Amino acid sequence: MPARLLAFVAAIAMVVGAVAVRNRLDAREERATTVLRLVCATELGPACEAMAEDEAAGRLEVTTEAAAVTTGRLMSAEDGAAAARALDGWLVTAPWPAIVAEGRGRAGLEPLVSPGPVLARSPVVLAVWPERASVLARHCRIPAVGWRCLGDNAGRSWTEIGGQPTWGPVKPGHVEVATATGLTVVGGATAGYFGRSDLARADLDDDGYRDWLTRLERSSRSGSPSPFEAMLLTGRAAFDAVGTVEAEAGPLLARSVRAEKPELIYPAPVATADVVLGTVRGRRSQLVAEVVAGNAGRKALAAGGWRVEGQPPAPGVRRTPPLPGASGLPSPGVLEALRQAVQEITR
Amino acid sequence: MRRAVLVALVAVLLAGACRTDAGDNAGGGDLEAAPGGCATVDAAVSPEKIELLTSLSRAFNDSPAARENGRCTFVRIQKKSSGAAATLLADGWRDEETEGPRPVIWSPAASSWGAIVNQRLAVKGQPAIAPANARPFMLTPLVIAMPRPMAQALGHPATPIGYADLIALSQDPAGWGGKGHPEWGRFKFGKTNPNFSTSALSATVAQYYAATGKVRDLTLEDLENPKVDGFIRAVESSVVHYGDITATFLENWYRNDARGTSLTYVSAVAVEEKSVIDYNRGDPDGITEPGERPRPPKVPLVAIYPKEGTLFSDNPFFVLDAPWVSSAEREGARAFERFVQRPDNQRKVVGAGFRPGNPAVAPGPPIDAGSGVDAAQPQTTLGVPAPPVLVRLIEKWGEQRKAARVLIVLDVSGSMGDPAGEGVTKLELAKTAAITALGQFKGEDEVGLRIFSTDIGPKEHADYVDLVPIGRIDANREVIRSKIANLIPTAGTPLYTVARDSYRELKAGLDPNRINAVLLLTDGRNEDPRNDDLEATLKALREGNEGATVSPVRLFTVAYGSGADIGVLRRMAEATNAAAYDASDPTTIDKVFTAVVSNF
Repeated sequence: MPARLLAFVAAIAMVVGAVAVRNRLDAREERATTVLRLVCATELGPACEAMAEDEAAGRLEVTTEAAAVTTGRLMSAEDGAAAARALDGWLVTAPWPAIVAEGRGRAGLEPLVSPGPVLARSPVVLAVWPERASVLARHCRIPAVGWRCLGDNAGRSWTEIGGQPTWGPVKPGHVEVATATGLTVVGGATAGYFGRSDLARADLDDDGYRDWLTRLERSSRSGSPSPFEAMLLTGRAAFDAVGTVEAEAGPLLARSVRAEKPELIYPAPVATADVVLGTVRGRRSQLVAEVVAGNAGRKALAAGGWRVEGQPPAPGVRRTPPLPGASGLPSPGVLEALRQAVQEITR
Repeated sequence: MRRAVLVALVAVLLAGACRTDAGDNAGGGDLEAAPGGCATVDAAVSPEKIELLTSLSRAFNDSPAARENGRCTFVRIQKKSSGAAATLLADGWRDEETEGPRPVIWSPAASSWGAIVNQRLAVKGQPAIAPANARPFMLTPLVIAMPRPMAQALGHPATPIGYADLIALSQDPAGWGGKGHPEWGRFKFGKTNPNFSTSALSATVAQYYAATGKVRDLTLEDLENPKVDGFIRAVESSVVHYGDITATFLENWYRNDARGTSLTYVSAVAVEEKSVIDYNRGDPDGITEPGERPRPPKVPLVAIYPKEGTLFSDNPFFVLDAPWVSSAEREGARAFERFVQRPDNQRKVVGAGFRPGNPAVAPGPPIDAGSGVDAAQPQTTLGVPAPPVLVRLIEKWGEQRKAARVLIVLDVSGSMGDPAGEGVTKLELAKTAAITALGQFKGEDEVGLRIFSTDIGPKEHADYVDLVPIGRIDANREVIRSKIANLIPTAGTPLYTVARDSYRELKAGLDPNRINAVLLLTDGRNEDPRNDDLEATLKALREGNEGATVSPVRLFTVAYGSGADIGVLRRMAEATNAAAYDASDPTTIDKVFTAVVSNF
């Protein structure tokens, strides 16, 4: 009797194993024959291209665009099925798929994109020229420059706060709020201003905050190349302090051979850009998820400067500070309101 | 309204762009054919980087990088001035026969040209073709070049210097005497015309920012502020003359340096940092001809980074989103872009005097004090104004620029009646060009018209006739236009006499508050047995253009048609620190005339 039971279990196991192997082979074959459309936020473009070049990824067709562009399209698509046919996966930072979901919900449209688990993370950093960081910190009477101090002094003459006359005005910058990391940076800055991230939309109407945000945004610049890259290329001329994510700043700084480099500050409370894959329903979305969350995807993201569990960090990417459990950002709804506020200020 | 502004922006900015540099690669006939099976990637690049990118394209074509992922790419480079390329792109680059192949890659001097093309297309309801996320290939900041002794007299390098300091100096009746150097005369500023030149456009923007005390967000209200207007007029009042290219100033400076008069020709010129490096290594035009051995000047220049801030020429690498660009060409263009961004190639960029476009490469020699520049500068960059502000800024500059007093001297010798192709004579083409160029003068400019040919005039000056005496052009424009229209070819070419006499007359009636100049167009050689002494003519032209108290008159010459004596005309122009223009192809006279008048 036990022998028969054992034989039965073994038979079952063999069948299950065969099915699993068959499924894997089928999936590989399916990936090899199916064109999968992956839309990537601009900052994640190089990682997506690297994934597409990995043979295991099959036929991955990558489109790169600013997160707000994809968001606008998905948020307003009345024909959800048609929109879903145009996209099998959307690699972007966490708030954006949730912003789409909220927007569609408010408009009475059916849900379209579901965010998957966090695949990679990167903390928000402030890159500041060392001597200017010291002057700012001294003026603000704080040990290290933070968002509040930077915003309070943005656009003011350096001579007013103890700097040199040749430095001109305090020149901050950050990637555009319409981008995946740009919204994260401004969200992190806002959390830094309030000292907390559990904000409501009404908090954004606070007069003191509004003045601070206006000063920061009206003095900030963005564009191409990114503010951080422009900082490295043109020295102190373009920017005194730039907000970005470690995934951009760390590797670029490591590659830079310039004698003088800006220092990276991790403003408290630490905020993070969390990469997720937004998927629509259907088999092809599952196939994309297998690629992006699989070895090829994880390797590409880590090589792109993102912190990925179990993957070695790219040069310039630190293991410290440790990242908090949550992103440290306000809710997606507040971030969307913040995006609109910034656009109004800079219009 | 917005549409009108955009149209105006394009019209104003591209008016200058219509002048295709004589040195532009006119057609695609001399371009190498791609090897079989390779995608041809044509690139149109601005003149200052033609040598560098040609060399890099050759290296690329011979490298494995051109055969990435089983694709074969062959890159061809053609020279196109930024403005000219912008005009062609906005119009769809229709005439490949004349203008060369449509580019896949476009690299103008500054990314603002890309924005202009996109705006012009938007006005027509067409999509943008210059991507907003183009990366810089290399960078160079706008600086004010000054002879080192002059900069030191202003406190350089310890004291930051800006436009406000230069204005104060230009307004000081004692001139350089106020700084202990009366032998240098008055402060004289050299600047090109912002309708034509990227560096001049940047310099004019920087002046406006300096006038407002801002570093970004220049507004229309700022431009209309009377104090700002006064500031700009003060800067412009010290200008010696304008022009289409900065090389005119640098070459004249270099020649004066050889004669020991560089400190009295001009005190400061707005140029790109790279030009200071080229000048100090003895290569004022930045182009080393085969066999040329650069000789450093006796008095080097230093780059002043205006304390109010400055702008960078960022040399973007636009892989165009144009309908004529195939995906294979786009892929090939990206492979070439990756190639030029490689650190070893970016080090060549540095070697050429530019700042690298890849942060992995450090700006090193020649970007150092030994070349008169400072890699740690500038400290502040200025924001590019919004398009409507830019439009108005250039319009305002047209009102505020220094007024001119110009005698146009036209050759009406018999050879001007020779055919110039398509059933028209050289004189007819020149007449059309001259009439068109009259529109570039502003109302308060004073302009006169003289024609010359053997025995055409009265006994006291038999070789020329004044058809319209010098007077304000707002009163004279129609008369001059009509007189030009009625010109007919006559006899020989008494070149030396008319050049000398015209120069002397302008000198005698010199107005120190204006740019005083003679514009002389001829298609021939001196044919006057009564005056065939070139050296005496040059001596007469040169005298009065040297020394601290000089009140200069410039003689700008145009060599028209293949028979013109370009060598002699160049020497005449150089004798007065002006420039000679080459219209040996008569069909280019329209563009050349426009370029000459850009000096005023």
